[in-house]
Amino acid sequence: MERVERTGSAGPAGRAEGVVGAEGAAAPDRDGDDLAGPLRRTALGDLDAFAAVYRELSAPVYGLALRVLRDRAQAEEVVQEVFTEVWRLAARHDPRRGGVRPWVLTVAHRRAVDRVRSEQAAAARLAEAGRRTPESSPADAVPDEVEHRMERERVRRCLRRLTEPQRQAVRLTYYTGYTQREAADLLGVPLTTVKGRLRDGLIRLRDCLGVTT
Amino acid sequence: MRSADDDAHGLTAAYAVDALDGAELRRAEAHVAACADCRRDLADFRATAVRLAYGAARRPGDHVWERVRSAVADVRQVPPIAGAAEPGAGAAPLPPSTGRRRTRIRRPRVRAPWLVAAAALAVALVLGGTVAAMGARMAELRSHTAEVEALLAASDARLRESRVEGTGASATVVASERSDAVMVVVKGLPEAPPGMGYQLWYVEDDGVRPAGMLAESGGMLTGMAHGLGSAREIGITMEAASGADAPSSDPMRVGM
Ligand SMILES: [Zn+2]
Repeated sequence: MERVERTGSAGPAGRAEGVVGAEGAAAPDRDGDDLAGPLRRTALGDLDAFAAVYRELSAPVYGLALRVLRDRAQAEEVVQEVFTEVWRLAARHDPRRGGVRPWVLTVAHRRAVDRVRSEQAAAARLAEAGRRTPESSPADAVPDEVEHRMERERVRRCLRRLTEPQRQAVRLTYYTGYTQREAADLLGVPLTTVKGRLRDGLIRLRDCLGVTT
Repeated sequence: MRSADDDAHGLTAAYAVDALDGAELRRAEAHVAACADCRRDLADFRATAVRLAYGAARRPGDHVWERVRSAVADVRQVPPIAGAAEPGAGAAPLPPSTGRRRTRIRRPRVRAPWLVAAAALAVALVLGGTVAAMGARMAELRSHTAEVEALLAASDARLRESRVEGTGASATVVASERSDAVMVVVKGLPEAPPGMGYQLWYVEDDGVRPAGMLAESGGMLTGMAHGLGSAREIGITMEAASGADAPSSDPMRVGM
């Protein structure tokens, strides 16, 4: 039905959309794997290598968890869980299946989302969501930290290039932890509509950020 | 690559940002495992999500690292899966797969934490992500989990991951003589037609014995059986959903 059309056998698609230019050319290489070495050494029990992985990834893991959970203590617990898992499963990471960052941040997002979903009944969450607009929640405020300022601004710029409904779909799912069904309920639109917005939004973000895998 | 479930192509974006639950999640997992296009899309979307995470980055306090460091001091690391691309050099590999008539590999007396972690992964494949969505079925899940935990607690429990002979499917098998139980998770076998199902068999030197039906959940088959006897392999065949006394075809074999 709606798979991401590919323009040619080589190029991932949606890329021909042309609406937005790639801004990511100068972006740090987030997937090619400067972390593969440290992770391999981590698998051998090397604590210094593990510390290097932590140094690089703890901020996105913590920031993401904080964004989803809106609770410092819980976000810290997620950091602890995620890195304990990284330590334990370092040897199981298969570089053929993707980079260290996507792996760790996928685990982090799942952990955060699992928490938010198990702690609040869906109905309660929807009711609560009605009271606060995701756009203006406190965790959305710009953290006073310079380290990731460039990347943060690049992401914000690209988010601004989405249509409002696309941005909403991306935020409600990735940053807030809703399922696309919950997002559809919350927005009062059909599920297929949210599906399309989320997919189009992610494709546009991918292109704007110059993501290549 | 086209697959039987083309509609599932449209689930990849939502899957990448964990916006699926229940049956849809299992459907997406099964589909992505079988569809190369969607795996590529998934990699793109996940890499995009990485950037979104960096966009929200915030440095945790130093006390968090202190906690992580002291937590991992007690955590044993999992060895690489045999046959993985880059097994971490020096880490102990899983026991090699040996022939049907191999002698038993001596097991450590205490259960290995890595086994628990690895098996927990297998269990997560089945239960993962669906728990929250299935409040009503929690009791069922818990009793299943308790059985699994009892198996894992056995000092001789061992885990094997392998291809299902003659198919592209993969099987994770956890078995223990001491608790006389085996747990099987199979990924990648085609869905059984209505009225049919996959049956598990114990393969012994002098024949096969029925070991129950595998349950289907979103592209994965799971089962737990007792009464291992002298079985060294398990077999899988497609039979009527009610099960058969003898396999109707030569079973696909999986080591255990
Ligand atoms: Zn597909």
